[in-house]
Amino acid sequence: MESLLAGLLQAALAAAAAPLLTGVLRTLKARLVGRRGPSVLQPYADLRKLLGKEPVISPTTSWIFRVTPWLLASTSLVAALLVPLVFTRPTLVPAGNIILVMSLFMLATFFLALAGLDAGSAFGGLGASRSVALAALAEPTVILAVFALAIRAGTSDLGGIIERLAAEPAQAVAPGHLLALAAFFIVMLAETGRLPVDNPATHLELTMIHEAMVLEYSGHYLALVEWASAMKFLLFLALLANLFFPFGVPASLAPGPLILGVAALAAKLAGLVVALALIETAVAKLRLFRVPELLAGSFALGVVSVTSAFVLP
Amino acid sequence: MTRATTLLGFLGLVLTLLIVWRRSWPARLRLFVMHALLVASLALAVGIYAGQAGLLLVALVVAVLKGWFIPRALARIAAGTPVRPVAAGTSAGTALLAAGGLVVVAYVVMAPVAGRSTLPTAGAVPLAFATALLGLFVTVTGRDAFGHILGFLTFENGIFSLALLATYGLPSIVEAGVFLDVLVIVLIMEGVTVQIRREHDSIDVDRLRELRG
Repeated sequence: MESLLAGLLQAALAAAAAPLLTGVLRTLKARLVGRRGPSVLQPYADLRKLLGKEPVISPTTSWIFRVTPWLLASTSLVAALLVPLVFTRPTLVPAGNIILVMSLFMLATFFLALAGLDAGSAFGGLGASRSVALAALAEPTVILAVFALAIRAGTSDLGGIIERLAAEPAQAVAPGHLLALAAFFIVMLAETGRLPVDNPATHLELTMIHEAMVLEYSGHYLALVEWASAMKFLLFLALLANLFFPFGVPASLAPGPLILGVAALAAKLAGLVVALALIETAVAKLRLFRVPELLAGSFALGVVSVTSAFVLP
Repeated sequence: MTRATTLLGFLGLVLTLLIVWRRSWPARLRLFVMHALLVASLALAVGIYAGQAGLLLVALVVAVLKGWFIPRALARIAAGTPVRPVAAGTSAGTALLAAGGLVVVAYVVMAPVAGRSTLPTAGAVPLAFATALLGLFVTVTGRDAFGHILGFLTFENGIFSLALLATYGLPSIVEAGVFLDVLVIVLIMEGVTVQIRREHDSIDVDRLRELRG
């Protein structure tokens, strides 16, 4: 009962904090290029504005178009119950591991691609085909990178991996671990639509992927889609932070360690967001046909890291 | 000790993977310089731990020769060519997947060898072997003369670290002979590529093949 309550609280915390993370990243990027930028709370204002607006839906769309935003929101909430954020034993951990988390995200990607096609606009189809092509290349690498850790930890359970690696800090500089980190980081950029792969700040038809699929959404549907993508970003960053820097994630539910867990997660996320802002300011977007090269590179890193987990002591 | 050599060997492998990955020659050259410096620090580490003063000299020679002199010759070879190939279908995706496969092969082949050795450096032996294999792979698949030479030199770096790790320090005279060979080879290659470029305006292998009757 207590664990269920804590799990729901964790999901609620993630849901509330997701737009803030996006806002902090936007503000940081603006500051780095010398603009003042919007307030870090701007995404909340955007969401409130969108919730107050009347949605306009093309009469040619089917039920898929209307269901997809709710599906995106609910899959990200379920994933927030599965991913260890502020403590290692989230509510649904006995139910699944990284494969379940990835299949939830895959379900969301699939429905978003369908919704992009559903509206029948040229951009929707373009975004859908790009997003599915990238997802097919990115998804295996995520699982491979986490499996490299799972082999070392002797369990495929996400909370178990974190507990095991936290107990052996020397593992954190093990070569296989570093490679898995690099592979996961690259693929996270692709999965969450960050800069070398997709530019979340533009609506340029030559380059956009996620934005092209959600072009037809408006009103509270758009608010849900935007919030769900912020959630996915937060969950991926938290997964990266907790799996590869597994320190300060409490296993118990006592209030003291839990507060410490929230603080540790906030600190790790802040560090990652600063790193992301620096990277996004420094690199240009890759040409679309060179993105598979990047993803194949991260896949190769993942393969090497899994191999080294078997061979290196 | 084991941790240090394993980490260095591993960083070397990652740098080699990046050499396979990158298409632009200045970036690959920079990666090669980093790889050479890494090999030098590997020689330094083994020299310090094994207490062989000769290896410190070897490390210095590697750093100067491969980290400074040979890259300058390579830069002269590549100067004037486009930074990255402009032709279509030059994605590194397949090459990277093949490289990943080669690393697995290297592990499978070398793991029994490393397992039998009692040296503290044995853990890094498969890594050095994988580096050498990847270097050979770059040599075979390189698209122009620069790629071939870079691949050969990476291969040589891998062989050198393999010798270093498997024997815990070679006699310096052997090292000196190898260095002399590599140096002479690079200088000859520089001369040959300059000639090729003067004759054919390009060092791209595909364009040279067109001349065959």
